[in-house]
Amino acid sequence: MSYCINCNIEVDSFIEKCPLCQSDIQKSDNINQILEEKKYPELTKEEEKKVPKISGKKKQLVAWEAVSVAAIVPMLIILAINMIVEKGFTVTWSRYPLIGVALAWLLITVPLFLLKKPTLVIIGETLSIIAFLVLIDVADGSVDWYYQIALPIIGVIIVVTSVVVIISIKVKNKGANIGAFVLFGISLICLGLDFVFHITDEGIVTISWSLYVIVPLVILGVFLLYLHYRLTRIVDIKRVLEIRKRLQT
Amino acid sequence: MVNNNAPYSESFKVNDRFLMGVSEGDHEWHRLENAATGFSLISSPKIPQVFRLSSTMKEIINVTQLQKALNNIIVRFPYFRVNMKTGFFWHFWETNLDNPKICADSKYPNNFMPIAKKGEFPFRVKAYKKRIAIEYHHCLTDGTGGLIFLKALVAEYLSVRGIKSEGWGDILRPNQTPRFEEYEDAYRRYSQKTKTGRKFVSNAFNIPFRREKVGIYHITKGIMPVKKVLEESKSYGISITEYIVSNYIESLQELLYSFPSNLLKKNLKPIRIMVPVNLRNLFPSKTMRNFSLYILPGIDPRLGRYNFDEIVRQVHHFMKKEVHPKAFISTMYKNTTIERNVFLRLTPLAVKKFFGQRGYYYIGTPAYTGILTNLGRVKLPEEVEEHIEDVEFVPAQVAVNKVGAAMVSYKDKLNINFGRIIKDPIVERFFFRNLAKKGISVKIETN
Repeated sequence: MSYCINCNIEVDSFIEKCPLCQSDIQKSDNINQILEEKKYPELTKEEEKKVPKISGKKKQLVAWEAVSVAAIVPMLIILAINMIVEKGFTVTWSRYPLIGVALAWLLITVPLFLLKKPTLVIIGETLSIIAFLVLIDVADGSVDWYYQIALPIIGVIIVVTSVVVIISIKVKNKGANIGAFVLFGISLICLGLDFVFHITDEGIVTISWSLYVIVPLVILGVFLLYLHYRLTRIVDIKRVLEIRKRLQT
Repeated sequence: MVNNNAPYSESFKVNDRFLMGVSEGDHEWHRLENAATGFSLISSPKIPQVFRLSSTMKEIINVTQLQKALNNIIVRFPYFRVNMKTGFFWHFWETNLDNPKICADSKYPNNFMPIAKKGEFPFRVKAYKKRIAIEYHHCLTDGTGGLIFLKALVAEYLSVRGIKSEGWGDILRPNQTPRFEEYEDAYRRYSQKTKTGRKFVSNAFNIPFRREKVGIYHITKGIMPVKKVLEESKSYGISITEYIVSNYIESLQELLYSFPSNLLKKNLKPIRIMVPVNLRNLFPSKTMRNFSLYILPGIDPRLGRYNFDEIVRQVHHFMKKEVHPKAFISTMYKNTTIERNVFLRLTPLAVKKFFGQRGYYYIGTPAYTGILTNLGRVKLPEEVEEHIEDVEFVPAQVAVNKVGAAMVSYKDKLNINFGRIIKDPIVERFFFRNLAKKGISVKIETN
């Protein structure tokens, strides 16, 4: 019988390292004893194959299959009801909900397969929304508002959101500064929307309502940046905002 | 012991026909009891819910004779001769008139058992060198039921080998008729409506290490002299279970305090051990199906570090207070809510399983740090005992707690088997070193 001096435990004589602490144990000379004393068989190739492996890819496929079935069922129901109402194989009003369900399917499918690639997820989701809006505009037979309103609005929202997200990820010291970036982002989106509406309606570039949003948000944003980058260096913010009296100093 | 003359439930009557005997082609069915229902909803390759009992003989196993013994004895256990079927709302058992086959043992025990697969038995008998091992799906039975079957199989194996015994004691023999009460859903029989609300138990400290690949299950067996452990526990005026639970808690506390400060701060939560209680000792049931509930003795390290004496007192008084029939009657009633609630009953099985498997990780299981189940002392007739070297109990894999332990004593030895799904035997190291420090000699075996 062998012994581990670290753990104060006995082990079988064929054991080389302590099962608890991995320190060396004097090896037994009797090789035949190894076969006699092993308490479990070695891992066979057959057993290794039996170990159930549920790969991430398989899980993705199962989830995607479930989402696809969940989308196809309401699409078929909508299509069938439309045909029953129209008494023929014509698709009229149902094209709008069908496009909506298709968008929902795309919005879930894209991150399912590109979960570890956030840039590709943003591009995929943007393209899905653009495609959705084009199809909705085209659904009534003509392209009316897509190029003038929908595309510029999406452009502004996507560009500004992406910039805010990238800056927020890249910045080293995270805190109140993230709040400031979000506020600046909202201001820029409002400014963009204001421009888009004026250009569409009047054909001129001017600022109107967005000014009422931008001014308070920018002031608030600057205050947050000051709080984050200046004040935290001068004094401990926890001490400044302490409400209760400390029991011990 | 409660002398409850409660009538058999509606579900029990179904088994009446089941008991009458089943002939070829006649597929009788019966419902899963309350615990089995829960296990059937969460069972998956990651949470196999399989435990194992084994007996090491003095001679190498003759597989042909063991197969013959199994064919003979399985007739005595018709409630084990089943296959799980999938209904629209629940799983249920259906008779399986095939004979279970002996299979080779594997390096990693207690792995997933696809019991809902056609023809699959909810247990498997394995042979390796001198050892007969039975792995049971927890849907079928608990440790006590499993031990009765193991004893019956081993006795029949000895009988097939020509060993004669004057009296088989309480061992079930193939020529006996199965008794009606062995089939009963004891949870339904003994649960009574109570108005106490469900106690909220906060999350406990859970071992934070990453689990190994699904299918890998490390076993660490500690063998110690039962006499010495009994002496030690008597010196504190407590039982062996209380002593080992206290030692387990002390080890987990040491493990917690060995963490770096940030990890310690994050994990500073109560340490609780789930200790299953065999309800057959409190209620007069002879069921061979699941009939156990658990209690959660523990300490709260947020109140400071406990010494061993303090842990012993906490565990002893908690167990004295909690192991009481009235408390369990109430818990049984609360646990059967899922079977009474109309909305839950009408929920399709696939939805129940989806939420059950996810709920396992967030509800109930995180309330304890580890598991320690004690099967007690295995007693056998002398003629049988002289052919058996050892009896072992390997706990089921635990996905959230990651490490579990099961103990059983046989002759002069106390065997504590730890099963873990993490690489490092960190809990075992603290646990067995602690016992060694207390003067108990420990021998370690692993897979």
